[in-house]
Amino acid sequence: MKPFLNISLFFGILIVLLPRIYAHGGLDERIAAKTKEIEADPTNQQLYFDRGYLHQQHEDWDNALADYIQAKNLGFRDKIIHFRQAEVYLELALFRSGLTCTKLYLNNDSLDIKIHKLRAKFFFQLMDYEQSIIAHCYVLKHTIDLRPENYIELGQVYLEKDSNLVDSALYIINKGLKQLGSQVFILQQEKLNYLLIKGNQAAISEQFDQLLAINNRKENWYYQKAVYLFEQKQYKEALEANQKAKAAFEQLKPHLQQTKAMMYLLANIHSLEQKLQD
Amino acid sequence: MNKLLFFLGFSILFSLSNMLCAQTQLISPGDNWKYYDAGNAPSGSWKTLGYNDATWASGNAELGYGDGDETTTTNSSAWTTYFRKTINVTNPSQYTGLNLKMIRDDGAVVYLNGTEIWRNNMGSGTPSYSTFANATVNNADESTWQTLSIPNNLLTGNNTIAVEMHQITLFSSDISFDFEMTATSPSLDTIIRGPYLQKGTPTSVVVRWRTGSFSQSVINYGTSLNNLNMTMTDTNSVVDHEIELTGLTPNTVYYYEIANQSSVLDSANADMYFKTAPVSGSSTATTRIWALGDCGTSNNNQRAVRDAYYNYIGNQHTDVLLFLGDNAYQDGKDSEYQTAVFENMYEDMLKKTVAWSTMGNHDGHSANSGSQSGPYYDIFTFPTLGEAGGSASGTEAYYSFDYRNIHFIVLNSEDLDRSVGGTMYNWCQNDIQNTNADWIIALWHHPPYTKGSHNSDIEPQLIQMRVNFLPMLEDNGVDLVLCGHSHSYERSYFINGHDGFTFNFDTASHIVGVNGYGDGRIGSDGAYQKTTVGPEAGDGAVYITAGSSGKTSGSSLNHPAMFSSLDELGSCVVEVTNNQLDMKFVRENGVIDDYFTIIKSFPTSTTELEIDPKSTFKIHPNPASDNIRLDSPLPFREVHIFDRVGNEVKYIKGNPSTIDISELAIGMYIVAGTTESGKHLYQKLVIK
Ligand SMILES: [Fe+2]
Repeated sequence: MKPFLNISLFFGILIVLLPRIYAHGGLDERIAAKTKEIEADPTNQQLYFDRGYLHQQHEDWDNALADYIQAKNLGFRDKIIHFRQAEVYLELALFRSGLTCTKLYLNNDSLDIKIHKLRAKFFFQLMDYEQSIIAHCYVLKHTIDLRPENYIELGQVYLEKDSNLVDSALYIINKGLKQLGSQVFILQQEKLNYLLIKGNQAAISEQFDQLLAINNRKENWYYQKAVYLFEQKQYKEALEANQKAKAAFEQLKPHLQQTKAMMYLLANIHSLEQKLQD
Repeated sequence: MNKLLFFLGFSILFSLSNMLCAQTQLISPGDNWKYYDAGNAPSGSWKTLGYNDATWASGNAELGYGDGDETTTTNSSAWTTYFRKTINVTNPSQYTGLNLKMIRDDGAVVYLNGTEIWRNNMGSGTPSYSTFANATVNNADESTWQTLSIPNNLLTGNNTIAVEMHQITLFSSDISFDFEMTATSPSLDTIIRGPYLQKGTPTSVVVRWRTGSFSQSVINYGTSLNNLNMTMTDTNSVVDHEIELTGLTPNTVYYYEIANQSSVLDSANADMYFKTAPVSGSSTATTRIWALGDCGTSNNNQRAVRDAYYNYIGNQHTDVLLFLGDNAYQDGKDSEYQTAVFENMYEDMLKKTVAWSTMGNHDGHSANSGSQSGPYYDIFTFPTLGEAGGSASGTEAYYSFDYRNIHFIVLNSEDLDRSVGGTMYNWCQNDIQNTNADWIIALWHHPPYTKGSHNSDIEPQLIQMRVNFLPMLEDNGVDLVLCGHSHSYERSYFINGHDGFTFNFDTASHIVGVNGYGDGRIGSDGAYQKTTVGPEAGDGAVYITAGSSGKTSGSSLNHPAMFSSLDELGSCVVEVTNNQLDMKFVRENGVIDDYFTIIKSFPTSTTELEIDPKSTFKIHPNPASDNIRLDSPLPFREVHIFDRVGNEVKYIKGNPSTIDISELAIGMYIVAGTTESGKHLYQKLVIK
């Protein structure tokens, strides 16, 4: 979980600022149709709820919120509205309001996983890491199909709570690897990040080897390992890893060597080689 | 001979199927029979139901003489021996067919209620007492059960089976007879969805189907239609069945049938097959891909698009089926999937071609990627551990797979984090740098470029996929991107590096390749060329917004990156053969309204390529701020400096000893020196 200002918020603002040149599109049409219905039946709570969700899908958070509140004012009582409203508050960075909505939902249904997942996010943003961890653990325990993100997010909460809790974060990642499979790339990558924080050279080196093992192509991970070893002033080992990176690069089919990313990687490899020779 | 083999094969197949059907035993092996072995023919109409056989002897099968294994020994001097058995059937209408089995030595004719139903090892014509069998039956064949399945024509009440068993010659030493008859009931369960294929790999495939009532899952399969010699069973009683067949041979056709513990529910036929993926790698064979965007309207528009494609391919096999999202309107519910995908829609294709999908916003109404729940995730089975090639994503929300020389990357643009450095991004970057495939095709729902029923200038998901993912995909050589969402067909020129708004699109800088600004058609402006050398090496991709497989929604359709923008129903056919990719937009009326070709140059060795990674040169100082000195083992004939996104920012002809870089902005650059012999040497330069 990254600090909150995300790109969707940025573009959300952009949308508001941009003139609406194009008034078409599935959602636009459906919103317009719903608005007509509301004009004909202005006290119909369901219609406001429906339009709110259309606005939400359109990532038009303010209009979504306005419709949800209007639906509630008119007596809409289904629990789902609390959840949707909370989602909108999360986008609007109104974490306290959002948390309140999740409580209203919990009063109706305390078992639903998705509400606990949402609460974990609110607690995290409100820096109540203990509660965020509890909510995450509930999700981990009760979700049938877990994704790597479930573990990564919880690991990040631990670290945010206290940078000394890297072992707890590692424990969670290892649990994820055990549950989902040791070849899951982003979990192995996250594990590397945590090991780098811990700074145990042997463990880090081993983790680079793990990443090398789960990938068909090795040039990038040998290079990453070489950079790490160079930073650790292990020049001989760094040179060896860098040469392996180069050798792996040479094994690539020519058209794969010539992508921008690989051209850049090769320049990096050469650059490191120069540094190691100087 | 062949005919006979075919017939026998068919019989075996039939009996294998029938073993799994609900069967009622009418005559069992070893049953008691009346027999007549007086050394002449019985008088009267001995084959008929009403014949009085009270004077005949009786005994249990096996009947005969000369082998020593008979239960009842008959007269060894009779040339022909006659058998009768009458059974009572109370309700014959419950049976659809009869399955007969017989041990016969040597030749036999079988009658049911006076009508001949089976002739085995006997010539044509009405046989008499002194007619001999066709060929000697010896050794193992004497005790082999012969089989035949026939339609049911039993009568209510008594029915008589009458058999005449003929010797081969006057001097034959033995005869044998035993008989079994079972009746087949119609299957008690039916398939209401599928079968459909998922997660195909060179050695495995997942077969899924749904039945009306709870039953076990059984698949009989084999490489020959006449010999489904393998079976996979899951004894759990379920309605949603899912079986993974493993240990298969790559690039091989397998025929299969679906059954439960008692009946075959969908029997094998020439169209019930799957073809395992070939081992991934370079190949000159053609891969045929069918892509459907926003198809799920469940109406005749959708069917017209489907039929136009079926017409286009004829008897050819479709290797890969791609759903680009919004597969079932309005909300991606299970019932909507039934009518938009499974019933009276794509069932003929789904049973023989593996389907892959990315999630659309309408699928997202009822499904959630965060918890991988809802109909979309229940219906599809995707690889999470790189089972089909690619880097393990750990989730079905985004994944990759290989097919022959193509790597497919499937992203989720609907309800997951689309940021740079997010988990999907990091996985995707590792995955695309992990493939050795000749071609890379990426797909997701929300198009980076569209002026159709959605607008890529103002809608956040579209903008984020463009701004965040396109640079990374393009840097790593993506060739084709397929999306949906806008209900029209929009197809780009050969472009690279356009991640801004429409008004930022610049034909001079964003269109690449010698023919990049043309129609991409061989014989017209020429195919798009993706080169492996020079400053545009690895650049160029075609973007298709293909969301008109179920409906069209019009709009301005004037995105400047698009060569073709059509407000027409249709679907995309992509055919990849070695270094050539051909795409056709097949309209619902069968007309191909757009097509193009991409040709990639694949040098076969690094010597053909102007690159020698073993050599490098040095830059001093590095980082630098005003002048740099190049220290190369080989003299250069020219030097290019590229910025991070691959734009050339400086060009020096000759072999400069120093280069003034003071006007370049702070950042990372790549210096590319070309030697006299044409080799390219690269070095990174940091300007501070
Ligand atoms: Fe859509």
